[in-house]
Amino acid sequence: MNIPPEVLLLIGISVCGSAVALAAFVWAVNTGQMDETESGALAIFDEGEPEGAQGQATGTGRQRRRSD
Amino acid sequence: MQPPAEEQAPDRLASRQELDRAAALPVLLYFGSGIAWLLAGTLLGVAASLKFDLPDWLGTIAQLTYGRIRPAHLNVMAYGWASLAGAGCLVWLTSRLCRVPIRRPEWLIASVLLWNLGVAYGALSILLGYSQSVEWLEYPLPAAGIIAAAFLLFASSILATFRARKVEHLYVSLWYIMASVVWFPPLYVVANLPIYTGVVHGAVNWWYGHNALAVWFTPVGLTLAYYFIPKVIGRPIYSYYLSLIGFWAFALFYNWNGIHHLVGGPVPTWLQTISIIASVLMVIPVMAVAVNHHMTTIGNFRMLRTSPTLRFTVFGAMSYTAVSFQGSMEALRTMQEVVHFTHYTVGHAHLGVYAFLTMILFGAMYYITPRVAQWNWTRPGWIKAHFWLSAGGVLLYVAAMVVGGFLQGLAMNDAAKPFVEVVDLTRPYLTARTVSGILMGAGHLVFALLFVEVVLRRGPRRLAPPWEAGGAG
Repeated sequence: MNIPPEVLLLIGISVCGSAVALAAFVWAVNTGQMDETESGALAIFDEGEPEGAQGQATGTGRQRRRSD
Repeated sequence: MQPPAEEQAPDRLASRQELDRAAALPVLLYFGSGIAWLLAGTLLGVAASLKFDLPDWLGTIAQLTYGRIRPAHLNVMAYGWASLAGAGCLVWLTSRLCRVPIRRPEWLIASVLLWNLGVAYGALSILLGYSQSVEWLEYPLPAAGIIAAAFLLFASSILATFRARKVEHLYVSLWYIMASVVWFPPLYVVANLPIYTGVVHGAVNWWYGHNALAVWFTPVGLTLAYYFIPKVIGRPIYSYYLSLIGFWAFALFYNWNGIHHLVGGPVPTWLQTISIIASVLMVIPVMAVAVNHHMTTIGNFRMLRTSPTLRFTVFGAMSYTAVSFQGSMEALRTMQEVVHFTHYTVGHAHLGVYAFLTMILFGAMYYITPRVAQWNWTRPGWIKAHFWLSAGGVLLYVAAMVVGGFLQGLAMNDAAKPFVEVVDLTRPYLTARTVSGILMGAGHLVFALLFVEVVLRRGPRRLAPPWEAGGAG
């Protein structure tokens, strides 16, 4: 069968793309990125901007914080 | 009451402000040029739409005919507005999530300059008649090459920041960012190679066209939604586990979708069938995102009134669910028989790129801009006006195109109906589209004025600016 060279290039690129995805997945599993999913969700909070501190509202002239 | 953040954690606050300062110049350059392209693209879009109402308008000037200003509109919006504003958001977010100042800021500045040059070169080329005539890839090779170089500079800065990260765990947003910066450059370069002909060229065209959404535009929107919804509400994402499943399902299915644009065309049927199946499988990652964002927001809907960031972002996230389900259905052969080559597809595209991506970009920029510019937004009423003009405008747009396009498709399938009757049928819907374009354009003008005011530090300085308070925007 006569496969045009540009099609071979596209297949090669697709295989490389998939290989990158597979490598990233294996890396993620091996380095524990898939464990501890509860703490992972908290990664966007810290002492200065803790969980439960509701956003200060820009553009309304009022400030909202949870009062508990 | 939560104590003021300054007393509570001086180190963390200082470091957050450091991050914002380091990213300030590149981010504001990305945003500023993005907004300039948004205004230019709006003008092109409204003009293109107006030509359906006034067919003779500007018809004698070759550079301003419909066949040129419509692709110029698409490319300016995609590679100018959405890409530049998105890149600015990703620069800021990568720095925040890796907790290190952005690396190679001078490369980013070079990237912005090149990017603008490429977008301008390409847009002028299209208007002057040097289009490549391949949808999403109309830019001539030199313009595409300049944009590719700009993207590589941007990607290298993101990757350098990522490698210097001071966090163990990669938050789900970082997964989407990394996927974009690793996959988009090879995709863009390979699709632009001048080596394809015939059917292969058509297949490459839509392999690129849909993957540009899959590995660049959609991840930009999702990564921002995954950060800002939980951040502003102050509550972690409902199910982090689900978000990871969503990411990997997204990575697995989305890249097969492109050929659904060619259903009924001359590409092999098995290729079309695979693409239709993958398009329907996209329901899985979309459900994961939709459930997650809805369950995170639930119970906090009153915050939509007070936080512009949340209002725009939640509107965008809901539109993502809508546009994705619509897309999965639209890929089916029975649907394609009606809606292919109609205005329905145009409505679908704007539900995605505007109601989803652009609204989320606005939300993110409302959060990021005052922090990097060290100056808060000054006119709450204008922000509200911007939201309602944009949201109302795009809802009218999508409703008009979806209804009008579907009726147009049914009418065109009726062989007994003269074509001119079909044209007449679509006219009120096309007028509604022009009106909606003007509404959105007014919103963009309001946003641009607000942005300029913040960057120039005009207007009264507001109490408790967001970069000092503990909370989010």
